[in-house]
Amino acid sequence: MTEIETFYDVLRRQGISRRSFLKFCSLTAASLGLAPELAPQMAYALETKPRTPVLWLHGLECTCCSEAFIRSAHPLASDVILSMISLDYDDTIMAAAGHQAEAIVDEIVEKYKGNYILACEGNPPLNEDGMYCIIGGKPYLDQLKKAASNCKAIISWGSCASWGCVQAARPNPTQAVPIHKVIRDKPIIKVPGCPPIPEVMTAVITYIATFEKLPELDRQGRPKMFYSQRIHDKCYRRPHFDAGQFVEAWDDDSARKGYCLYKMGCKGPTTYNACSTTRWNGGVSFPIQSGHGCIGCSEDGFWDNGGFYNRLTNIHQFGIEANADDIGKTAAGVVGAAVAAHAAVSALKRARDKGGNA
Amino acid sequence: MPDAPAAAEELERVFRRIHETRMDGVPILNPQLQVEVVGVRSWNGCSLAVLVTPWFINLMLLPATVEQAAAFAALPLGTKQLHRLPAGRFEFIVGEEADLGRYEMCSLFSPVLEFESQEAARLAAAAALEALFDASLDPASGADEPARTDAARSVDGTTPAASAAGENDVGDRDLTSSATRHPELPPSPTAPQMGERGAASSLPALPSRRGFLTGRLQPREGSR
Repeated sequence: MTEIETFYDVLRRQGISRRSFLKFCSLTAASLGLAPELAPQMAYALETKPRTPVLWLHGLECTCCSEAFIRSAHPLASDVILSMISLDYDDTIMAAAGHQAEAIVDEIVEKYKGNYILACEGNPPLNEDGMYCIIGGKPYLDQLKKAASNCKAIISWGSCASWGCVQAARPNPTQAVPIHKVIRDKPIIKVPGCPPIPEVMTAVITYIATFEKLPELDRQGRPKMFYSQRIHDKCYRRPHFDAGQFVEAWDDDSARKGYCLYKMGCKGPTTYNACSTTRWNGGVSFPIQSGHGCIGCSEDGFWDNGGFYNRLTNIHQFGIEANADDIGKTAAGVVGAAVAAHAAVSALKRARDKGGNA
Repeated sequence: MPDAPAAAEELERVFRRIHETRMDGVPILNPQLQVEVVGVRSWNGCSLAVLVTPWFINLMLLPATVEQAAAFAALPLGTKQLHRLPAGRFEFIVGEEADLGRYEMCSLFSPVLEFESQEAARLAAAAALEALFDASLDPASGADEPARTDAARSVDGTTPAASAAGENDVGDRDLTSSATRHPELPPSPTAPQMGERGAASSLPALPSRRGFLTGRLQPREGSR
C-alpha cells in the first residue's frame, strides 16, 4: 500500500478498453445529472488521481448493501466497480482475516489520516455496552468510532446505517442506532434503501472520487439527484392513480391491467427513491412493475409505519413535510402567492429530467 | 380536434366525474380542493394545461391536432416521453382515459394535502405554468440548476495535483466545500486540461471525441 494506483491504471491492468472506460464516465455523469461536458472531466480525474481509500465497516446488517454494490450493472460490471475505490477493508470480500484484517483498520486510520472515506453498512447497537455486535473481540461501536476519527467523510449505506432499519424497529432490544447518532463531527451522506440501488451507490462513489466532495444533499443528508422525487412522481402506473383506477384485490382484473397499487398498500406516494426511474437489475424492472406495491424501504422507520399492505390513509404520518426538501420549508400549508409560486417552481425543478441536459 | 378552451372544459368534466366516482372515499383527497384546469396554452400541436384536483396537480398534455393525436395513439401506455420546454426537459408519462383519449402527464404535486385552499392551488398551478415557459430556469442556460453549478464549481476546486502530491496533503480539505485551495493543475502535454476550465458552458474548445480517445494511451481493444 505504498503507492495507490489510479482507477484507470487498475482498469487497464484488468484489460478494460479505454472506450469502455469513457462510456462508463459518460453514463455515470448522466446518472448524476451532470452536463455531458463533465464526463471527460470525470475521466480525467479518474485517470490522474490516486484511488480513494475506503474502509467498509459492517455493523448489524444483512449484507444486502454489499450484495447490491457488487452487482452494479454499469458497463464495467461488478469486478471493476470494486476497483474504483481502493477497498482496503471490507470483511465480506477481503482476503485478510483475523488479527491481520483488524490491523488493516489501524493502519489506514493512521496512514491515510483525514484522507479516506468510511463506508458504513449496518449500525451499532448501544445496549449492554455494545455486546450485540462484536468484531475482533470488541464492540462494533469501538471500531466505528476509531475508524471515523480520522476519516474525511462517511457514507451511510442503506437504511440500517441511515435510519436504523429492522434492528431498530420497535422495541429495538439492542438499541441499534443509525450512524449519525453516534458520529456527529464528520460529514455524512445517507444512501438509504434496503438495499440502495446499485447504480446509485456507484454514482455516489464516482462523484466523490471525481470531485473530492459530497454531492449536493437534501436536509436529511441524502444526495438530491437520487432522492428528490418519490416513487409515485415517476411511476409508470401513475396515470392510473390519477384516473382513480386501482387494484382492489390481488389478481383481480385491475391487477392484470396494471392499475395503481395504492389501495393494496403501495408506499410510493411517501417514498423518496429512484426506483421508478433507475429501476433495478440493470433497469429491467422494479417492485411495482412486478405487480407489488412499494414497501417504502428507503424511508425512515419503515418497519414501524404499519403493514406493507395497509393503505396509506394519512400522508402526514409519514412526515411528508419533513421529507420534501423545498416544500418542507414552507410546510404546514401553501397559502400566499409568494409561497405558492415558490412551491410551484420547486416542484418544476424536481420534476425536471435529471439525466444530464442535452 | 377541440380547441384549447374546449379541451380544458372536457378535461375538467372527465376528472370531476372521476372525483365523484372512482376516487370517492379515497382517504388522501384534500377536501379543500376541487377539479379545475388552470391556464391552457397551445404548445407544439398540443394543449398544455395544469390540472388541479383534490389528489394531484399535474401538467397535462393533450393532442390538439389530428397529427398529434395519431402520434399519441402510437405511444404505449405507461411509457415516458421527454419534452423540451423553455425551462428544461421534462418527462411525461403516457396515460389514457376513455372520454379523453391519450394524454401525457407530468406530476407536480401528489398528494396535495399541503394546499390550504383552492386559491392557493390555483396560484401554484399558474406559477408553475409560467415558470415552465421561463427560459431563464433552463439548466442549459447555465443560470440555474444546483447540480450543474455545483459540479462546475468543483471543476475549479478539484485538484488532482494536490492529491497526487501526497496522501496526507489533502487531509484538511473541507469535503463539503469546494472553495478551499486552488493550486494550478500541472500542465499535461497529452491530456486535455479540462480541470482548469470554469463553468461547463464555457467549454466550446473541448477536444473531439476521437482526439480524446487517441490523445493518450492507445486503446487496447478486444481484450474483453
